[in-house]
Amino acid sequence: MKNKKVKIKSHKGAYLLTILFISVFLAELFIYAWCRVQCVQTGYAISSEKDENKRLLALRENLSIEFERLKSPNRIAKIARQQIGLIIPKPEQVIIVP
Amino acid sequence: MKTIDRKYIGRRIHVLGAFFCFLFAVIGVKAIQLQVFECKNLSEKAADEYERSILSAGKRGIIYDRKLNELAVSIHASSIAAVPSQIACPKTAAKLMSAILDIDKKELEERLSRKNSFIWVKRQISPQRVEAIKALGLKGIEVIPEFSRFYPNKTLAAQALGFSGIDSRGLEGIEFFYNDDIEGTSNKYKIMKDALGRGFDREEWTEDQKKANNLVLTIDRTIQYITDEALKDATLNNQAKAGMAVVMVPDTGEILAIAHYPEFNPNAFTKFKRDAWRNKAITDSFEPGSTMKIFLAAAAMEFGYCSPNTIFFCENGEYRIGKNIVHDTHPHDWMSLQQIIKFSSNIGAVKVAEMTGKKSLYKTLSAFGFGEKTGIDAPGETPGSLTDYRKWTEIDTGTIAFGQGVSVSAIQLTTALCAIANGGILMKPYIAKSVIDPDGNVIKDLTPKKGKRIITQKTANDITTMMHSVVTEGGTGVNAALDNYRVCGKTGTAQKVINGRYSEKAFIASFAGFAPQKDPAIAVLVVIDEPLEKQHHGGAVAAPAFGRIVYETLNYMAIKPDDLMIVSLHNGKDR
Repeated sequence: MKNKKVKIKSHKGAYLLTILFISVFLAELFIYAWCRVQCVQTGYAISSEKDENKRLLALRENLSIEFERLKSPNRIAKIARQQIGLIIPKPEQVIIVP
Repeated sequence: MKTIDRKYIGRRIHVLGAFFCFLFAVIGVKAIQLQVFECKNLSEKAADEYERSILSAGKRGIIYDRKLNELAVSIHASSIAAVPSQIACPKTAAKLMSAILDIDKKELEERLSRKNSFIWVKRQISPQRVEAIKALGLKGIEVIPEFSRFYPNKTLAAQALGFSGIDSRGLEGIEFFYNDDIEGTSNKYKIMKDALGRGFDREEWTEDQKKANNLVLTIDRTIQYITDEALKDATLNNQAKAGMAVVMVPDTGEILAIAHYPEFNPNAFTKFKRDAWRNKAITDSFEPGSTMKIFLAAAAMEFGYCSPNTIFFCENGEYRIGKNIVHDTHPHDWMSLQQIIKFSSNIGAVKVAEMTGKKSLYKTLSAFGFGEKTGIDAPGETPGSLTDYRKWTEIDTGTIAFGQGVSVSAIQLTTALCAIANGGILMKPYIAKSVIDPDGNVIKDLTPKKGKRIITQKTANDITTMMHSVVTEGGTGVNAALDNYRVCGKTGTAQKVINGRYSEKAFIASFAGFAPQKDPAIAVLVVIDEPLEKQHHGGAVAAPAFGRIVYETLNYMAIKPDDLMIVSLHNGKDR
């Protein structure tokens, strides 16, 4: 009878150990899965931020090109002639400032 | 019974335990086989499913003018690619995309049905189209970021700049010649895909990694514009076939402008004829006509055969050389060398050439660079044509004296002209000044070495004086004269060779000169191809365009007029 009690006690310890082991294993599994999901989400977030960064860089680039286009002599001369009515000065109208 | 059951339960447990151990062992062995022995193959196989690498051309460097205004830039542009194996229904995909991309539906369907692992659908499309394609959310359709070349000034200096192709490689002009200096390094662009085909954790280049070196040209955007406009007007007003003009700095050989008409837009180069792409000022040669007389005069004076005042009998308008008769536009009797240049007498030129001799004339023309390439930094340069003097007949010597029977490129003629303007030193012409890194530091200086002296300062001065007389009253180039700058120049009118014979109807009119006379800041050549027959002389067709280019350019450069009109800002009496 006494032996039986000892046997049951030792089985109980083994069960607890197994449950603990499985719990730790499952916890690790969930943490790992959570980390992977977070990693994937962060990946999407980085990807989206990179896209946004790229869009802004492209916008900056396009604006600088637009600025260059607006400065083009062809356009300025056209505005000067057609909108403001400027003409190339005659030699006697040119004064070189020393 | 209960004892027997218990006994068997223990055995069953052991048998089941052993069975599961066996199964775990099998799984373990399989795991080792997959993870250790077949790891490499399987990883590659898996990677093929979710990773894709695409080689993309890097961002090309910027091409600047001499004042660091952008002439050519690379901008972000997206291209559409497809992985046919991933497309569920090529027919539907083709139907949806063909309308957006403006591609024939059947052709697109055929392409999407191919067994290729990767195909380009359309390269470098507009952002609106990219968004529309993205919105379709088609699996197997990729949006690949690339770079597209853009020329903000459109037609300005287009032939000199050239253009680059869809793969960001220079195909023409400066873009081609300096391709290695401004080409961006290629990128391996890796895309990771999830099960839904969404782009995930892209590995892309960063802006810093891909910045290529930039190129600074000698061309000035404003002077180029002035030249373009003057040339365009001269060509259109004279109903000419084409025109070209070159502006150069005599002391250094820097090209300030190279203009061509008809023009072309490098942003849409495929819409223009190939002929319009060529930098004809460098690649094509033509018979220069009377502009060659200044080099004849240089030969005669340099070898001591005559001075500006040496007189020649000009045969009253007709001079026979063997079977051929040389004519002058207006008959002249006795004329000095200076007058021969001023009135552009062909007979006078023949007489000077006869006095100078073939050998001396050939030597001088060769020294000025005719018959060989100038070495300018642009592709496809022509050496022109100047045959060996030992092969010249009597009539050849005569015609070469007034610029027929010899062919030159516009760049050769302008370079030779610069040698007279700068006092006798032949400079090497160049278009690119330096290669700079993205921070603006010069990493390659492209300025050529000092030129070589080919005529004495005195000869150069004498020719300069003669050239000034051309634009004075009675001279052939009076239309090039300016009120506030002393201009030196020479007109040229040459018959074109059509089907092996000199045409009586097709001419090349030109004007070559520089200003101001005292310290020339620019040398300019204007060439008009096939102007109206009625008014085809260089003095009538090209000289006014020359005058306009010189006047506006010198004003822009703030060069003091020869007859200085300085007014004090304080009294303002002349304002």
